[in-house]
Amino acid sequence: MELNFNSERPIFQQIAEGIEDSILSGVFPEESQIPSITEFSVQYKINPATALKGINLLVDEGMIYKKRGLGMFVAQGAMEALGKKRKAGFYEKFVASLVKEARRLGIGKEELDVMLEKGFSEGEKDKEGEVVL
Amino acid sequence: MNKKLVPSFRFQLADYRFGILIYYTVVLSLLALTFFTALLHKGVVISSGASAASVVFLFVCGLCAFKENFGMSLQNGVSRRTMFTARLWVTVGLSAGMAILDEALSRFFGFLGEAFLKDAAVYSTLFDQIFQGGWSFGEVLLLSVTFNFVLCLAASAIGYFITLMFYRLNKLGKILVGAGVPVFFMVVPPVLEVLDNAIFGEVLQRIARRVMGFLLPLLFGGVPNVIGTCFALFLVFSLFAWLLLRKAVVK
Amino acid sequence: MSIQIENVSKGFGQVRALDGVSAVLEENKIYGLLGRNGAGKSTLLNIVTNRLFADSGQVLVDGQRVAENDDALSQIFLTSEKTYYPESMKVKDAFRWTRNFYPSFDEAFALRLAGSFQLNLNGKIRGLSTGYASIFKLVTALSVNTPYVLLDEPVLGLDANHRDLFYRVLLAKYGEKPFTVVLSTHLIEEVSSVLEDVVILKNGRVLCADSQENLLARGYAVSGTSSLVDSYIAGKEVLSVDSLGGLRTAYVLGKVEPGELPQGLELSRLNLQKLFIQLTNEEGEK
Repeated sequence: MELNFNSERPIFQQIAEGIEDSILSGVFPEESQIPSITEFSVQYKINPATALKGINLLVDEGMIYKKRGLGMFVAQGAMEALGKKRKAGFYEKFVASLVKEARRLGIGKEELDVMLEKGFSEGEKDKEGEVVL
Repeated sequence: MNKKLVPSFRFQLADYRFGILIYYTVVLSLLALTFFTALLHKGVVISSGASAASVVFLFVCGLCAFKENFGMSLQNGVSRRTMFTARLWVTVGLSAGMAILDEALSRFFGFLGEAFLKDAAVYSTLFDQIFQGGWSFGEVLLLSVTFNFVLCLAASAIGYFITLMFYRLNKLGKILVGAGVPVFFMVVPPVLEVLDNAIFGEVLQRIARRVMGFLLPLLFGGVPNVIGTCFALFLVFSLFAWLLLRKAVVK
Repeated sequence: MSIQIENVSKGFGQVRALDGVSAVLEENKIYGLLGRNGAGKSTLLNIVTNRLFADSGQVLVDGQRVAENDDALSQIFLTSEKTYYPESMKVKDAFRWTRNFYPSFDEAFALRLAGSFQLNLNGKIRGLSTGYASIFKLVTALSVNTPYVLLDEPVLGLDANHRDLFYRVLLAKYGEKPFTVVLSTHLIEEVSSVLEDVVILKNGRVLCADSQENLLARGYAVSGTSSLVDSYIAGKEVLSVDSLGGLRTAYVLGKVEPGELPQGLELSRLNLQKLFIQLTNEEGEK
């Protein structure tokens, strides 16, 4: 995961999202241990309080749990829960801004539909490519 | 006890290690050289021993002992007070050590001289050269060591005071003191003398003679007086040094 | 447990370097002491460590006055831009002496860290380049293990790799056993992600002292067309306005109410660097 220090989004949120991404992509499987606060802090050169705040967002949501003296682990069912959460935010995060930008450029609904169609079919190709590889 | 005192003492003492090593290498070589020269030429050699040189050595060390120690002390959380206390201990320790060592060296070479040189070449200490008197050997030894010791103390303290004074003075002050003090001693006495002769009818000279007549015997009249005077100099200049140090800051 | 700076003032001749500075440096936090050149950062740190005396006011370390107090001073370690080690002292000897003065100094760690930085142990400190002099001081400060470590311009002359290494070691050390760190610097962008709290000095006074989070939440930036921005910021507390062609960006103090922002205006968070520049700009620089 990469942090963007110039981003509009606070770093602690970026940390939380980075870990979410890693859980979704299977880098941190369920019941596996995630790096410690200090490791995050050193790796990304951020204050541990910032890393802690990011991780606590996930702890509050039940995605991560702490075992005293052992460390932090991905919760059972975190992947499914995250999938739901991301889907819920999908419209806000992607569709709304897509439509906004399309309006700004004068791209109509039909044109957008064509593009979506194209995007899906090329995505299929990529998938096949991955299988071949 | 203050936990920075011992480290500060060790650090300031270590500062002298190299200098002392060189100094005594030179002194020993010179003493040995004089002795063997005397042995070969059967001549009478008078050596003042190491004690006078030690006084000069400690004075010069006093001149060099401030700036780097001060920086190191402040860098390492040593207060000025602790640094100064440690400095006093270093001065006392070194002066005592060197006074004893010098006495031992003088006596040792003196003994060699008496044993091997028929003319009884005189390896006398500074003390022997200045004071002649009917003391027993033990008394001479004690007085001589004490005499060397207080001389070293005073020299050390004066050197330290001078370097501190220059550290505290600004540029103008340094020039004024550096040039002013010699000029004062060169110019003022003759001018006073002329004025005294011309205007005051030698009143000043009479007063000066009175004061000197009273002071000189008191300060330098006998062995105890000289020892007391040196010790007083040590105390006074140490006090001045402390007054300068307690408000000194990094530069 | 904290360093309390209480109403400290200090003048040099006509110049008022510090003017009634008060601040608290709490235990186990990483602070940024920020200010422009001549703002009084080094003077303040020198007073905190008894290298200079305050004209008035006082500094307490864990409740004890710091001036001429060895016990209080043994809790603090400051490295400054200037080097105060003797002319001929070698790096390894400096480590040995530091251990004498601070028994908590971890000499083995210092030697390892010096190795990571390729610092020559047999080199004379005064002969080191600016970068390596900084490295020597950093290695010492990271090994000394006092509860308060103050670093004045710590990365002066360091290349990108060494700066990176420094921040990592600092954070690893801090993660292992937290201590109070004060980073005094004007390289704000680079250091900002490491800081928890920030003290900003301007012309010898404390401009603000708060957590970075609170500080950044104090304001925001809006950009858009000149007319939109101008009408939006009317009546608001504006730090400054940048214009580029028809695009205008305004730095505003306060909070944006949800739904308050008109269409066509872009909202962005302030970052520490931006905020710092806006807060400390003098009239002529705006």
